[in-house]
Amino acid sequence: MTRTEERLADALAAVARGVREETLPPLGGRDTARGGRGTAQWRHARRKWARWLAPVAAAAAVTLVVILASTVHLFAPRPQPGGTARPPGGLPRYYVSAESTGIQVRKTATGAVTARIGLFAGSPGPAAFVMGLAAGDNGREFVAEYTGQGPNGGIETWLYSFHLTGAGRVGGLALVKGGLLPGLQGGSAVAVSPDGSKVALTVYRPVRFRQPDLLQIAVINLRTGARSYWAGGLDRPGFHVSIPSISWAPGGDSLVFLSQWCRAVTPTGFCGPGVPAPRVRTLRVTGGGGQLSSGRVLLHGLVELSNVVQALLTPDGKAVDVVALSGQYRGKAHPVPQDLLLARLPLTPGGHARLLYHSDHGVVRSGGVVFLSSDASGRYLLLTSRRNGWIDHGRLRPLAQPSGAFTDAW
Amino acid sequence: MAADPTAGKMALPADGQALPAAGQALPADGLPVDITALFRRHYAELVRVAVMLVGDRPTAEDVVQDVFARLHARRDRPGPRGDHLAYVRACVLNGCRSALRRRTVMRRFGGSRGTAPDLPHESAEHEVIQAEGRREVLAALTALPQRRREVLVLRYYLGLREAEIAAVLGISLGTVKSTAARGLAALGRALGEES
Repeated sequence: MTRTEERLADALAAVARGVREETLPPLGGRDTARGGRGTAQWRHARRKWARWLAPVAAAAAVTLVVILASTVHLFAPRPQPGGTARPPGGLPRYYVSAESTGIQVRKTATGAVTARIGLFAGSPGPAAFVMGLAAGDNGREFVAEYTGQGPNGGIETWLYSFHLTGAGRVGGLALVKGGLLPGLQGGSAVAVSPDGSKVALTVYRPVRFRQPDLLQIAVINLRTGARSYWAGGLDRPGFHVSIPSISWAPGGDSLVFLSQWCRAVTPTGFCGPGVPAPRVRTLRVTGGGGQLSSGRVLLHGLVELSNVVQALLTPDGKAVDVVALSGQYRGKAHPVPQDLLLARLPLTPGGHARLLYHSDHGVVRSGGVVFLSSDASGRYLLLTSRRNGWIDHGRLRPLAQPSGAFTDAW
Repeated sequence: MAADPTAGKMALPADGQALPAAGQALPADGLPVDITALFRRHYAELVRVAVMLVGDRPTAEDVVQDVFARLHARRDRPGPRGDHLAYVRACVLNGCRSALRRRTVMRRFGGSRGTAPDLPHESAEHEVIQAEGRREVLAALTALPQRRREVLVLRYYLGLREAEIAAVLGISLGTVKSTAARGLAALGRALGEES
């Protein structure tokens, strides 16, 4: 027996041990014991029509949504040229993409480029790459994280901020206070607090030759430049810890982040092949630093959501939007599952999960690199992978795909 | 917690063939299924298989009970030719597929989340060290295509031979072999192991 066969037989035996014969209900007696839904025979007869209930209700709901959407579309005021970068409550007019050649600002409607920030603009080192991007202040302010070689040859990370004008131009590009992080390599997760005063980002600190770098969450106060670091407590022998996404809880005192245990981690912080055992955790960051494990676990991996690659708390703090991969692994260098599911999981008791988007058409990029970002309202979600776009009633509305873009924000 | 002596067994029950009950008519094209004997001997085992395939115990119990309820409703009709246990197993697998299809539809249109396959509660140390690894295996198993998952469960939980798996699933021996090999390979890849 191979190791895989042994582990499989062991796991199946463990499941079997959980189903003890003496705890099984007699035939037809399960429902009377657990709340009286009727006997198995009655249930069987009832399901003949009940199985149609969900599709019929869904079809009715979709019809209603289509009718409402059409009505709203007909009577909605058309966006005026100029004005702010983001109409209140509406679809953001511009989105910002981080790509291999720098940062680009594009019009949502047409994909036309309105501004560019070069790869090396502002960064003091000879080579720097954009690692992360996040929007704040209702889509007007942005933070971009560069990492690369500093003037003295060591690794450095720089955090720059800029804002968008009403015409989609970039203004005020500057290194933020406390935004130079010497000796740290930037990760891919960045988030701006709801009031725009703090930024949280993942960084790696080299520990020792051939030892995995120490993963930390750095929190920078943009007004004072004060920094705090959160690390450790999630270690597991034989695995790397990865944090592919961070979001802020309302109030700006706590973070919600996705942690994974990976056999291997790509340079952008994503797990290599394998099931990453995801956990969505909270972390209170009001102190001067501490352990990543000091918060609590909000969500575990589930059967259908075992390979969660992104998890963002909604701005109202009532749900978590997760991106999960499933299905067959494809790809040569870094095979990844090709089915992608975006769901909103409620944190309130009794709430129902909502499927926001599902695709089984190979939208996942090699290496499993998927990014999810949201506007300030939580209504408009941006998905970036092999294809990028925003989620509109269960559909991916494609956006112009910049070459090599790996994350978008608005 | 005391271990269930019947749990996790790897051998095919020798008395798998059901016999007609006393007083029952014997139709020309097949013996009637002895529901009582099958239920008594194999109910728990079938629920366990269903748990492994659908991921939660209430659904698994529903699936198996529905199979027996249907069999009971058709008790006067001719039974299938050949191995009755294989027939009931096939019915349970069909029930699991239907449950998963319904769940997919419900999930797509706003239904509730699924749950992880039930693992027994053991010591805290066990929970930390072993349960996590098992969950990984089960999650990887769940991610496999349905046919592969069924073949692996029948083979590595029930310990069925390839010919028996072929009979239960209604596929050829070669398909069983290739499906099992691909399933194991995919599982190994998902777990980061060389197979």
